[in-house]
Order: sequence, then C-alpha cells, then structure tokens
Amino acid sequence: MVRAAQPRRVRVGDVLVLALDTATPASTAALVEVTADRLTGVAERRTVDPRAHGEKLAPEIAATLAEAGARTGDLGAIVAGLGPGPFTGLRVGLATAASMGQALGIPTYGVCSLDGIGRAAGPGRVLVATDARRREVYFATYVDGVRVFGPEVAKPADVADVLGQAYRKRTSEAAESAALSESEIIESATAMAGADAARLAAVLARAEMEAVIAEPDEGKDDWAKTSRTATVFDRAAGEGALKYGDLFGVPVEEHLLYPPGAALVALAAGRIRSGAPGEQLTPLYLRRPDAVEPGGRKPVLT
Amino acid sequence: MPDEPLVLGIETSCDETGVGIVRGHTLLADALASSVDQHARFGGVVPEVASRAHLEALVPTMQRALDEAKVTLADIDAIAVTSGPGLAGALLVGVAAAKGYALAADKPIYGVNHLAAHVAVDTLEHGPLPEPAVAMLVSGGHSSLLLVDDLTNGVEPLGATIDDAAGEAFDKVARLLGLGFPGGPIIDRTAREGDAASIAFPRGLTAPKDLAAHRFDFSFSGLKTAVARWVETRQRDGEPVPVADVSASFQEAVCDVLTAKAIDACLTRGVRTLVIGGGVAANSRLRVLAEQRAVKHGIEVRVPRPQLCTDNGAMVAALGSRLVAAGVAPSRLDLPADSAMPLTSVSVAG
Ligand SMILES: [Zn+2]
Repeated sequence: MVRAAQPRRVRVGDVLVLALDTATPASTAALVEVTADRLTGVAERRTVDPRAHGEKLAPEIAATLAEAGARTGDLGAIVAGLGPGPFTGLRVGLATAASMGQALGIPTYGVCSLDGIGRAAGPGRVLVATDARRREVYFATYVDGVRVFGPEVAKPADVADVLGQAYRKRTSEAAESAALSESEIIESATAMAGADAARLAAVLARAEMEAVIAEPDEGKDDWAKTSRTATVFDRAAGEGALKYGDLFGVPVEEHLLYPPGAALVALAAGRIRSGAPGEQLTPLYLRRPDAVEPGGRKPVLT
Repeated sequence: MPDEPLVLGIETSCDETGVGIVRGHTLLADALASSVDQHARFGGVVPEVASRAHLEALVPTMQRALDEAKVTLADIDAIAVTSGPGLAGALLVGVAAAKGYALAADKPIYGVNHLAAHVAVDTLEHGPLPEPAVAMLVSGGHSSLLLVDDLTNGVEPLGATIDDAAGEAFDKVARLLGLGFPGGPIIDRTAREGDAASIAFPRGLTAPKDLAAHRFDFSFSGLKTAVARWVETRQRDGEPVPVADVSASFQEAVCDVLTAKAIDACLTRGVRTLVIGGGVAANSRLRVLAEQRAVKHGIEVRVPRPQLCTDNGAMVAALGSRLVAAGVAPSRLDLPADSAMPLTSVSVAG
C-alpha cells in the first residue's frame, strides 16, 4: 500500500533549510528545521563516491524531500559547503544550490566545509583534514568547534610545520601587545582579530606554559613533528585525517569523515534566523588553475 | 501558437555560458556570457578557467534570459542541458545547475547532445529541417560530417577530423602569424585583404589513396605545419611575411576541403539539404564557397546567423523543443555529464 506523505506543518518563523555539500567524496543533502532556539535534523542522505557528485546529488535532494514529506516550495534557505575540496565535485553542490536558490527565490548561504566537520567534532583541539588529491590535504584547526587556523592546503607531512610557523607568529604578536596573563592576552587578541584569535590566544597561553611549541629537534625530526602536532591538537577528523592519520600522531574520529548537514546549517543559523541577505556561492579554491602561458613556439624548420 | 512547448536550454560545454529560451521554433531569448578573454593569454581554452567562469556566470545569465523572454521558470515546460560531448568539468556545472532548476521548479529535464543541438539551432532561423540532411559541424572543438535522418532519433556520423579541429587550425595559424586569439574571426578579417590563390597550401585527405579510407574525414594538422614551414622559410630568408596572403591562402585550403567533402556527402547519400554549424560556420569564405558549390547541384545550404553558429543556449533549447514535440521521454535526475557522448544518443534516455 502506498501512503501519501503527510504535508509538513512548519510554524511561522521556522525555516526549513536544505544543506548541500560536495567538497569531499561524499555528496550530502540534508533538511534541517531552524527555529528560534534550536535546530532539528529532519532527513539526511549521503553517497560516498568521489566521481559521482554530478549524478548522485540531485536524486538525493529529491529523496530527502520525499522522506520528509516536503516540497521544494517549503524551503526557506539553502546552506552550501564552499569547500575547500576537489573543484569539479565542489562546483556540483554550489551550482545546484545556486540554481535552486534562484528558482525558489530564497537566500543561499555559504559555509566552509571543513568548519562543518570542526563544529561537529565538539569540544577540544581538533585538526580537520580532507583529501585534496595530489597527495595533499585541505586542513584547518579548531578549538571547541571554532576555527583558529586555515583553511590551507599542504602535504600531510608539512602540516605540522605550517601550523607551527603560524602559531609561533601569532604567539609573538600576542606577546608583544599584551601582558603575560592569560586574560589580557585574550583581551588584546580579541581587539586584534576577534573571538577566534582570542580562543587561540587562550590555547597558546596554556601551551606556552607547557612549552609545547618547541623548536624542531635536530636529528629527531619525525618524532619532533609528531610530538609538536600532538600538543596543538589532540584529535583529528575528516577523511584526509583518516588517510594520512599516521603522520599526525593523534587519534582520528573515524565516524566524522564528512561534513554533516546539521553542522553546516548550525554555522549559518545566525544569518538564517536574522533573515540576512543570501550571498553568491564562491568556492574556496585555495589553488590557482593549472594553466601555463605558452612559451615560444617550436619551429618546424630543422 | 501557444500550444508549442516553452523550453529553456543551458549550454556550458566549452567556454560559453549560454541560456536560451524558445517556444516551438521561435527564439525568445539567447543570453550568453563568454570566458574567451580569460583564455586568450593561454592561446586556447583552459578547462579549469572555463569551469570557474561557468559557475560565476550561470545565475546572472539565467536571469537575463528569463527577463529577455519575459517568462518565469514556472512558465517553462521543460529544461534542456548539454550533457556532452565537451569539457567534463564545464559540462558538470551546467548539468548540476539544470538539475537544480528542474528540481526547484518541478520540470522535466533533457540531457542533450551538443552536436545535435548545433544542427537543431537552424530551425530557429529557417524553420523545420528537411530530413534527411547532411550537417557539417566545424568549430574549435569539433569537425564532423553527419547524416541526419530524424534528429530526435540519432545521427549517423559520416566523418570527422583525424587530428586538429578546423577551429583549432585557425587558432594555431593566427598565433603563428601573431594575430591573437580566437583565430577564426581574425583570420577571416585579415584574409579579406589578401590573395587566396597566392600560396598553394595542401588539402588534407584529398589524394585518391586518402579518399579511399577517409572519404568524409578531415585532417588539418599537415596544413598547419605547412603554413608554419612557409612562414619560417620567409623569416629565415629575411623576407617580410605577407600576413594577409597567408591568411587568405590558409583559409581557402580549409574551406575548399570542408565544402568539397560536404557536397560529396550530400551527393553520395542523395541528400538535398546541407546544414552548417559551429563557430567556423561564421567564416565568411566558408559560407560563400558552400553556397557556390551547392547551387550547381541543386543543394540548399542552411547556415544560421553567426551568433547561433557559435555555442549558445538557444541551440540546446531548440533541440529540447524538438524532443518535447516528438514525445521523447525526459532524462532522469541522475543523468551524467558525458564528455565523450556519442552521436547515436541525441538525449540521455530516461
Ligand atoms: Zn559547439
């Protein structure tokens, strides 16, 4: 027996939000209800196939809507993961989100796909890394779900150095302009660069006391890298972390490899609730197109 | 006729982002955004640059098309999109967007063949296409001769280039002569000041032994090399290069082979209609020569105006309209982009 889906009842002020992400091998479509005080996951579908975003995403959206008994006309906003991620797949999600937003006349909001994983990872110091192909990862670091560094792209073995340099730079900037007490560092860092920097400063203040951001130890390079990264983050998430996990020397959250729809919506909840204007969805490419200007033509006369 | 289908077409197979809207055979809108300037310094289309530009241009181009046609997406009967052949990443942007529009507005979607769309666009200018017809499609990406029995049902490939596309040869020769990119329009203009009979450049695949194996195929690589050799010899000898004469003679060699083989295909298959499409169809010499040769054999040549010859959304809409009218089933939402889509499939089966 086929039972017609019950029409959804959405209260005035509540917004049914479609979340899309194709920045990793996963094609994700999710429906999340955003009310004044909470987010409720309604339905979510995901297919993991790095070459099939173009084929999988649209049927997933249709299936997610059907599962929720909703129609596209019920949607109030679309949130899309802007990457970073392999470009071809990434653009599938953004082209779909942008066209649906235009057709429905609803706002589209972009969020960093890595932030979705970082947000979902919860409290603590977390490295999020996804596969950038060419033996590189896209990565960012998070403290209690908030990004403190990145997104960046690097070889997995260079992540520790990139982070170490960035953290040392920020430490010295913070130290110059603030007293040594942790609270003052937070204050000045907030003035300098907002809440993210404040959280970072707090971590660094603690880290400095423990002397964790050590100089590279000559002769014990691998050991030193592992021990340094292990003190800047104590967990890693994302399919890039799983792939290159040995290099980071911290436990990998194997259940958290792709950006969950609800976390993506949570990142845009403030804008959704305030009815902020939508934005054009521009990918976080991080890499320039591979294109070389032609040099001199090779002569045919020999 | 209000009963004719209102169809929207999306094209992103190369460097043009096109959205066209037609009602039956009537063109209502043809909005286009081109990334050609971004490719100029690379001397050819860079796929990643093209894909990025498509994503940026799609929404505004769609808006312009809807405004121009004075319709909304809700009024549209079907959405057609180029699903191949073309650049894989570029195709995917258009296909994904088309699916988004189809999903949001609850419309059927047709993934269609870019080459068949080049043939279908002629109906917007000259009305229904008499079938069977021979179609010659010549551009920077393709050079083929096709037999069209029933456009909604598949197309029989008669021949194609075995190396460079015709448009590619124009680009390479233009670069060699320091004229810029894209080469087609520049060579066409430059050639008007030159003597087409001044240099005898080779006609590829026209020798009797080549004709036996490649009667309807083309080859432009040898021609390009011959032009390079001629120019370099002049330079080596310290003589000035007569750019206009080289352009005219090169263009003549290309147009001579193209039209000779197209007319031969018509005569061999007993076809009285020749349709020419693709960017090179905008070439003024090709149009004149095809007409001159066809008229001797009672063959009608149909060439759409230049804006419709180059890649655009209207051609995709025109083919979509034809498919809807013929009652062809739409594609499914999981339709793939197929960079090597064969001519045997005019649309992706539902
Ligand atoms: Zn074309």
